[in-house]
This record gives sequence, structure tokens and C-alpha cells, in this order.
Amino acid sequence: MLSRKSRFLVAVLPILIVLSLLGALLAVTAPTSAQTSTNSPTKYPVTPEIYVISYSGNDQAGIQALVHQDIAFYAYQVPLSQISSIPSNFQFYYTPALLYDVLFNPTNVSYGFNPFMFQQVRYAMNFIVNRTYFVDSILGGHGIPSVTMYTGEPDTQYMLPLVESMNIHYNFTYANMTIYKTLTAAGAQYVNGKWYYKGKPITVYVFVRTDTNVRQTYAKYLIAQLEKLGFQVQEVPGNLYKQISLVYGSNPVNATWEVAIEAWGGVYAYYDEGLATSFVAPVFGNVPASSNVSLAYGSFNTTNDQLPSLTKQLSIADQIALRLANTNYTNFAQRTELLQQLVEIGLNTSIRVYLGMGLLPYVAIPNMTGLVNNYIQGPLNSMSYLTMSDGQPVLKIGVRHLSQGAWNPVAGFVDSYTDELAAATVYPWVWSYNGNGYPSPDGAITWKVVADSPVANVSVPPDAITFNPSNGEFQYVGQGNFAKSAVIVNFAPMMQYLKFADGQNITMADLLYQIYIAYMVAVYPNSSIFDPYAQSLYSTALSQVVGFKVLNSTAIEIWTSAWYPDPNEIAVSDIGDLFPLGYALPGGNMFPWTIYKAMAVIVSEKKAAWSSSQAQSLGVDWLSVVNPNDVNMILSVLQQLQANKTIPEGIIEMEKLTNMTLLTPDEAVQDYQMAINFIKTYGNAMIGDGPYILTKYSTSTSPQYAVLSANPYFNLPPSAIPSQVLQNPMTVTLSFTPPVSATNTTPLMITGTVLGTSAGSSEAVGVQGANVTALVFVNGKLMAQNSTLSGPNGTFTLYLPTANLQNQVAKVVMYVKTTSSVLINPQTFSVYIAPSTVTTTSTTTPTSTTSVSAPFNSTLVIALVVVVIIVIAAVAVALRR
Amino acid sequence: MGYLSFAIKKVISYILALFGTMAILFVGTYPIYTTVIVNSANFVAAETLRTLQQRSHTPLTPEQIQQIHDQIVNQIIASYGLNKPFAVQFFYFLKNLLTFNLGYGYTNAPITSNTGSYAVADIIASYLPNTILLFTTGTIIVIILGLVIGLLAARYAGSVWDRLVPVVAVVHSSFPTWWIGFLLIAALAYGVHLFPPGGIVSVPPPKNPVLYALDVLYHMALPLISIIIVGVGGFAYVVRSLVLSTLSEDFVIALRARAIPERIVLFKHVMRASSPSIVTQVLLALTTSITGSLTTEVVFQWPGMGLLTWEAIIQNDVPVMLGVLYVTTLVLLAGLLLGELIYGVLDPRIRVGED
Repeated sequence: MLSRKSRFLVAVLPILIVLSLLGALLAVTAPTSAQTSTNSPTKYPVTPEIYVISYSGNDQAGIQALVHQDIAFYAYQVPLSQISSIPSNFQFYYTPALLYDVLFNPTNVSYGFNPFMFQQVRYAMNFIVNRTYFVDSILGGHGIPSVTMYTGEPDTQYMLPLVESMNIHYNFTYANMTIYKTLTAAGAQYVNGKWYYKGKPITVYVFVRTDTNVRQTYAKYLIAQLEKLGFQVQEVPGNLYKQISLVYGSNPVNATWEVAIEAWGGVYAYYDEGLATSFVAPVFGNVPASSNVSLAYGSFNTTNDQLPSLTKQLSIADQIALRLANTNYTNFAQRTELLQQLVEIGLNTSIRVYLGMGLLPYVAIPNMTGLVNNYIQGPLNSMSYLTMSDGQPVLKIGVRHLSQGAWNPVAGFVDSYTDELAAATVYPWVWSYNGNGYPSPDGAITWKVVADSPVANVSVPPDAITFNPSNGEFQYVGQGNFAKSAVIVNFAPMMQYLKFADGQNITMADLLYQIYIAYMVAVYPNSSIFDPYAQSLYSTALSQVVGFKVLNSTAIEIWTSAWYPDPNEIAVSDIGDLFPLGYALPGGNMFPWTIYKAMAVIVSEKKAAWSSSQAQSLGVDWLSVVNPNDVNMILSVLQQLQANKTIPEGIIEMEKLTNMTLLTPDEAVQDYQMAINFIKTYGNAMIGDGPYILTKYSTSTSPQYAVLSANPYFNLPPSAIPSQVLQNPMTVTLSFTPPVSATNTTPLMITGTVLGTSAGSSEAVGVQGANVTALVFVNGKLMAQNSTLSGPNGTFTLYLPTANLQNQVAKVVMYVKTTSSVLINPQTFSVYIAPSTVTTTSTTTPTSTTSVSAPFNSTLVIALVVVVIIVIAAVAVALRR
Repeated sequence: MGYLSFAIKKVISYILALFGTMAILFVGTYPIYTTVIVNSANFVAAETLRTLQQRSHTPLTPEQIQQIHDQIVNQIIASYGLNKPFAVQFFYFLKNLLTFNLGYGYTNAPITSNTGSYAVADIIASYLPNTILLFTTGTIIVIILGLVIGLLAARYAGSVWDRLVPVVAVVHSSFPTWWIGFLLIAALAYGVHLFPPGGIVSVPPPKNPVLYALDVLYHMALPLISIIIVGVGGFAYVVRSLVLSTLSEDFVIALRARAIPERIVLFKHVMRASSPSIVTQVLLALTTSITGSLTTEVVFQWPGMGLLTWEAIIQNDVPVMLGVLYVTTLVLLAGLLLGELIYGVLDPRIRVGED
């Protein structure tokens, strides 16, 4: 028989054991939040090795490989027709893709009667194109309809009052009536539902792209509408090259097209005056009509073959466009006003009638993490390379093409495929925020805007350095020079944390030498490395630099004659003016001075050329640091330079002007050796400062492929990178039930929820802190507006004043954005504002909000129940004894 | 001198045919591609200006903008030599053909050789061996199998075997190779994962040369099977028909009457008599195999002459297109010339007739 003490121990021991097990269970049980927490990386990049496999333009093969998980991610947007073939548990990253519009030939064509030479007819097409049908049916709902060229990006919000004032919407009857009046006044006849001019049917030539599904499908709809209007339609089928040749390269008076459907990439930016200036004003060579000062497509004078009213309007457009391009205004409000005026001219002239923006998905397998979607660059970008992973030590991704051009910092990196791959090997200085395109530091450099003025009143110190294009030498600026802006750039973080992939330190010598190269290739025609194409790319930017000064071993101050109302924007612009190389690849200028020198020697000896046009002219290679021929030449030159202990003359020149020792002969020899070792090891000269090294680049195999290995010299700590730069933009939408009526004595109350979907996810959650804006229009006139921030769980309540609006039907336009994600997709509804004596219906409650709740840990419950039972049993046993 | 003069006449006529073909091609394509290049220059200039605006807030006057535009356009035109007179360009084109200088491909197209060269000769030299590896191998297999099957069908004329050959020939020949390719990929690549869906090697390719060769053969399997399926029936039918027509000749009856074994009649006498036609067919098949098949290579992503042609068409790379046409015309004419010369050796009536 057990003693009382023993019985107590027998009772307590099981309890203690169970409690211990329970504690262990709690320790290993995952947190009960909806998101699985991940450990923050301590070093980038996360994935040691990436295989990049090219599918040579065969998207079908690439998508099949993705669906079968032979690759983790396919770096091209999945065509709409293929979306249904992707398993639903895959991750979709929606990105602003293409801006679609219908282009009309506004000239009096030589081969017939062109109804679109009349502005009223073109304008009427705004009421026929049916943007809702385009987005919902052609794009499958993956898009944003738009009347202007601004769709989704921040400048969209400034166009809303203009758009509403014009009241453009689908109205076939109105369009038909307008066209009838215009054409009959011009002498055309409408007989039995068909249009005739001088006895012949009016034939409209519609260029139909046969190599793109969206445009081909929409063309069918548009042709049906044109035939319904009474025109005879002749299709002109063709691919991209035919479109470039026929529509953009020919005199619109003689070219056989009157309607063409366009799609433009690269149409998202934070400040995007360039979109309107390019699409509306002929001065930038992208309009099939002339003004008083500029030619159609930059080459054809069509003033005698277009209506004088069009010439007059386009001349005004040119003036406004030049003011915008030259920042010839004094504040942001003026800039916005000019932009609105230009867009209004574009709407009135209707040479381009916009349809909307397509939001097409990139797709990744369910296991993929770390893809950072960027509305400008897409998901495959410099930041994604830092963080993307599928949990394996080797990540395989697919691309459409490895490259469609050369890899050199002067006139290479001109195609998006090259830039996507090369982005792994260089680290950009500036990053455009993923969800809104705003320029931001990303840990490589910092800047301070010293001055930013619309007037050139910033004194430039006499010992600042400038370039003299008449003798090809750098010199001091001297007295009496003024600039509009001044920026100090500090390269210390880059120099501290990064090295080139061959182990060379990044020093002021590298930075100054690339400035030297930039001026030689683009500004000084007598230079042996001058390239006419580089001149067209960089000379105007370089000519804006009034002077620069090396402040110390890590900082440079820049003075330019450019100005912008946003200091951050001018900082980026000024930096870009002094360091323009790299063309379209952010960070593409970062090569060590050794490679720049070797490339310069090869170009000066006419063995290769910087640009494709120069290469074509000379019958030599388009210089590329991944082309084995060119790499061998670079290697050979480096060895010669090393033997002679050569310090480039550009560095010597800069040393004299800066009074700094930038490079010693021994350092030069060492740097040459490091570059030589790299080339001999990896077979290419793509020596950047990015997170990866290009360790293999194979175009002789099929499939072509490249291998990227983590760069051991990339030591930028995660803490140095601003978190927003690695943040995936969240697509936010409004969920609310619009009120149907209100009174003029009580503000119109709108309640709802802001829902957000993270990139790669399909779950919508409430978003706090989103900016909800509503504008009230009556008969196209803006009567009131208000904004509010969403609260917890994304809920918001917005009040709009309704005084002076009684007996009116108000149109309310609402949109939402966050500080980190701007993809404006306005939602509209109409509400009747009754006088206060009329009983109003109560507003409905908002639609249900989605909130995130922690899932219940059933394991814990079961364990607790078991413990309780055991305790009770043990106590009962003890007490019985 | 009979055969020598016959041969010389043939060589001269084929050389003239070659240059005549290329001259017609040049003249026929010149207006088109010059128009395309000149017209595309405007677009390139406009896009460059749009990119410049997005990158920098650099003030520009209308004159500066027009200057940039004109500079880009003129540069593009000059780079292709289109600012020279047509006669000068035509002269250099023919001169280059004589020296096998096929020029350079368009540098804005992604087509380069294995070494990254844009020289058309280098590009073709990179792609041609892959076509020979696949299609010539496949053609040889088709020829051997076709010969055996055709001979057997002719030997056992009237049997079930003989009746099967024409049916198979017609049915299989009517299958497009690319369609067979898709079926094979769907079934054997994505269905049961027995073979890779395309390409020439795995990623990464094996470093060991033997394993590399095996990897290439592994990737060749599906396209080879599709070539054989489509080609063997037709060739067997041709051989069968040729042999059958020879078997009906009087000398065969005479040989059989002398109780010479059927095997010797068939392989020694009948084949000898049929050989000129068969050899011609074989030579034609071998020479055309070098040109590859555009659809097959595109379906299987096999980097040969067919895929090169496809990419050149898509990218509007006219020098590469003309270079490929020149090489394929040259090969075809060389094959025909060789066939005629061999025919002249095998059948004396040919060169006597020429005399």
C-alpha cells in the first residue's frame, strides 16, 4: 500500500509530464496569425544560384514549363488566352502592361476620301470605341478603362475633372448623328445605310495587327462598328514591322491606313509629362500630323493635307509640350494646369482615342517567395533578385529571350530582355517605388538637394569642373556661372558595402572615369571613341551640367540648368545628367574603370562599336561584354595595359583638376589583374556591383541559358535598404454600396471598406490608412470633393457637401490610393440630391468588410482538455486512497 | 572529252543559275527591305525621344528635337548603306557573293553566332551543323529504312506487305511533321516525361563529352521519330515503284529464265538499273536535309537552319534571310549538279545525248 506522499507523487507526476509536453508543444506550434512569419534574411541575395532559361520567344513552351514546375517563374506576362491554363494556386502578379488606343489618320489622304480628317468624326469615335467592352470582354476584366492616356498612374487623378467635363461614354446614336452631320456637310451621301463620296463607297482602311491577340480581337469589334456606321472597311493585316513601316514610317497622306490600334509599354511613372507631350504634340515625332513648327512623325509636312484648325490646335499643343518638357513653369500647380491643357487638346483633336490600360499577370509557382512587383519594371527587377527564392539552393526561372542586343554601358542595354538579366549584376543608385514610381534611395547612395529654383540664380563655384567641347578637355568653370539646381551625392554606402564582382573596390576613380567616357562618346566629335548614336542619347543631358565638384573621396556636388518642382525628382535628374551611361538599365553605368578603358581602346581601334548603327556602318561587332569575340579582345587589351601599367588619360586629367590621387600605378596593375582573373574564370566581362555574378552565358545551346551566382562582394546589409523598396505594392479597391439619393441639407455620406490584395496573393484584406477621394460633378462641372483616410480594417466614411445641389443628379467619382501603391481605377455612381422636404431613403449599410482573424489552434485545445482530465483523474485517485 | 565537256557545261549553267537566282532575290527584296528600314527609322527616333524625356528634364528647343530626330534617322539609313545608289549596292552584293562575304546581320535583331558574331557566315556556320546532325541523320535513317521496306515490297509484290506500303506512305506523308511533333511532345514529353520537350541539350549541359553526346541524342529522339514517321513511307513507296518498273523489264525476265537466284536478280541487276533514279532521290533528299525544316525546328526549338530562317523572318533580318537563301540555293544546286554528274557516270546515255 502506497504512503500518502507516494500517492501524491503518483498523482502529480503525470501532471508534470503532461505540462512539460504541453510546454514543448506550445514552443513548436506555429503562430496563429494568418501570415506565416519568415526569418528576416541577414544577407542578400537569398538564393545562391539562379538559372535563367530562354524560351526564344515561344511563350507557349515557357508557360508549359511553368505549369509543370520545370521553372519557378516565367518573366513575361501570360497572354489572356492562357490564364485559364494556369493552376489557381499559382501566384499572379498584376502589372500595368500596355496602354491601348486607336490611332486615326487625320490627313486628306491621296488615295480616297478619309472621313477621319474631320475632327468631329474623330471625336465621335470616343463614343463608339466602348472602353468597358474592351476591358471586360477583350482584357477579361484585367484592365482599367480610360479616356485619356493617363491610366492608373498618379497623374490620372488630375485628369478626372477634365474627363468628367467632357462626358465621354459609349453612345452610338450620338456618334452616328455627329458623323452624319459632319460628312453630309462635307459633300458625302448616306444611301441605304452606306456612305458614298462622289459616287464611290467611302472605304476605311484599318490596319490589323495579326501577331497580337488583343488587338486583333478588338479590331474585329471596331470594324463591325465602322460598318454599322455605314463605312466600307478594308483590313490591312500586318505584324509589328509592317506597322512600324506603314503606320509610323510613311507619310500619312500616302500610306494606306486610316485606323490602327496601338499598344504602348513603359507608360507608368510618377511624373509623366512625357506621355502627353509625346502622344499629343507633333514636335516629338510621334503624331501623324504637322503643326506650324513640326512635322508629322518628324519627317513629313502634312499641313497642306490637313484642316487648318488641326494645324492651329497642334501648334498650341507644341507650345505647351515644350513648356512642360523644358519645365518652363514655376510651381507644381502650373505644371498640372499645363498638363491638363495639353490633354484637353489631345481629347479634342482625338488623333488618339484611348481605350485603357491592360493589367496582365506574371505568374510564379506557389512556393516562390520574394518576388517584388514594380509597376514600372515588372516583377523581375534588381530588388527581386535580392529576395526571390523557391526554397531551393538553385532557382530556375524562364525568360522570353536572354538578350536582344549588346551589353555595353554606352549604347547597349537597349532592350528589356537584356536589362532584366543584367539587372542581377548591377545595383541601381536610385529606385522607383514599386507601387507608384516615386524616386527613392535604395541604400547605394544618398543625396541632398542644396538648391532647386526655376530661375538660374544658384552660384556655381569657380573651381567646379566642366567640359569644353571645343578642345575636348575638362577645365574649371571660372567666375560668373549660375545654375538652377545643385545636388550633393554621397557614394559612401556604395563604396563601403559594395565592390565590383572581380573584387575591385569602387572608388572615385571609377566614377570620374565614366564621366570622362560619357563626354568623349557623346559630346566631343573629335574623340576616337565618339559615337553619333550616343550623342543623340546623352549630349543634351550632359550639356545641362554647368559644373561638378569632388568634395571628398565619396561625395560630388552637381550643378545643372535643369529644375523641377519636386526636389527628389530634380536630384535624380541631375545625377542622371552627370552619370548618363547605362541607358535604360538602372545601375548599368557601374563598370570598373579597367573595363571602360579596355572597351574604349577596342572602339578607338574600330574593332567594335558602342551602338548598333555604328557597328552596322563599320561592319564590326556591336560591343558586348558577353560576346566571346569581344571578351577576348577586352582580355587582350587588359593584358597589354597591365604590362604598360597604363593609367587612363581621363583619370590623370581628373586628378589634376581635383587635386586628388585617384589611382597609383601599382593599384592600376592590381585592378587590371583582378579584371583579367574574372574574365578568365567566367568568360565574360560583365563586372558589375550587383548581387549576382554572371558565371555562365550560353547562346550556343538550345535552350539558351545563363547562370547567376551570388556575388561574394555584395555586402549591402538588409538594414541599409529602405523597407519600402522591397515592399510589394498592394492593389487596393473600394467596396461600398452607393447611396441612391440624398438631400441638400445633409452631407452625402458614403461608407465602405478599402480592400487590398497583395501581389502574388488572392486574399483581400482591409487596408488602414488608404486615401479615399470622392469628387462630385453636376453636368460635368466639379462641385465638391473630399478625401479621407481609411480606419481599422479598412473602413471609411466620407462626407460630401450637397448644398446648392438640390434637384440635381450628381455624378460621384471615387478612387483610392495608398502612399505606397497608386493604381487609380475610378468608380462612379449617380445620386439624386433632393430638396430637404422630400423624405430620403436611408443609406444602405456598407458591404461586408473582410477582417483578418487568427485561426483557432485546435491542437492546443485538445491538449488542454487532456491535461484537465488527467489532473482530475489524478486528484480523484489521490483522494480515494 | 565527252564527259568533261558535259561536266563543264553543267557547272557553268549551275553557277549562272545561282547568280541569276540571287540577283532576282536581291532586286525583288531590295525595294521592300529598304522601305522597311527607312520607315522604321522614324519610329526608332520617336521612341528614343520619348525615352529621353522620361529619363531627364532636359530643356530642348524644337530645333534641337528635330536635329536629334534627323540624326538618328540619317544614321540608321547610312549604317545599312542605303544612302548609296542602287547600282553600287547591287555591284557590292554580287561581288560579296563571289567571295562568300555574306555581310552582317541587323544588329538590332538578336540573331548571332555562337561566338556572338553578327557576321552572316558565322551565324550560318553556327546553325548549320545542328541541322545536319538532326535532319541528315534522320534522312539517312529514312533512306535506309525506305530502301529496305521498298525493296521488300517490290520483292513480294502483291502480298499484304506490298499493299500496306502505299497506304502507309500516303497516310504518313500527309501528316505534317509539326503536328506529329506536337503529339509526341504532348504524349512523351509532358504526358509520361520520357523525353524532353525541346532544345538540344539539358540545362546545364553535362560537362563530360560522352554524357554530352548522349544528352544531345536524348534530345534528338523526338524530332528524329517525327521525321522518320513522316518520311519513311514516302521514300519506301518511291523505291518500290522504281524497282517494280525495272522488274517488269525484259532483261529481268531473261535473267529469271536463266534460273539466276532472285536475290542476285534483285540486288545485282535490278538495283543497278534502278540506281540512277534512286541515287538522284537519295542525293536530293540529302541535300534538302541540309536546309532543315522550319516547322519541325520551331516546334522542337532545335537550333538549326529552319529555326534560323524563322527567327530571321520574325526579326526582319534581311541579310540573314538572304544569306540563308544563298546557302540553301547553293546546296540545292550543288546537289542537283552532283546528281547530274553522277547520273552521267551511271548512265552513259545521258552524256551521249548531251553530245
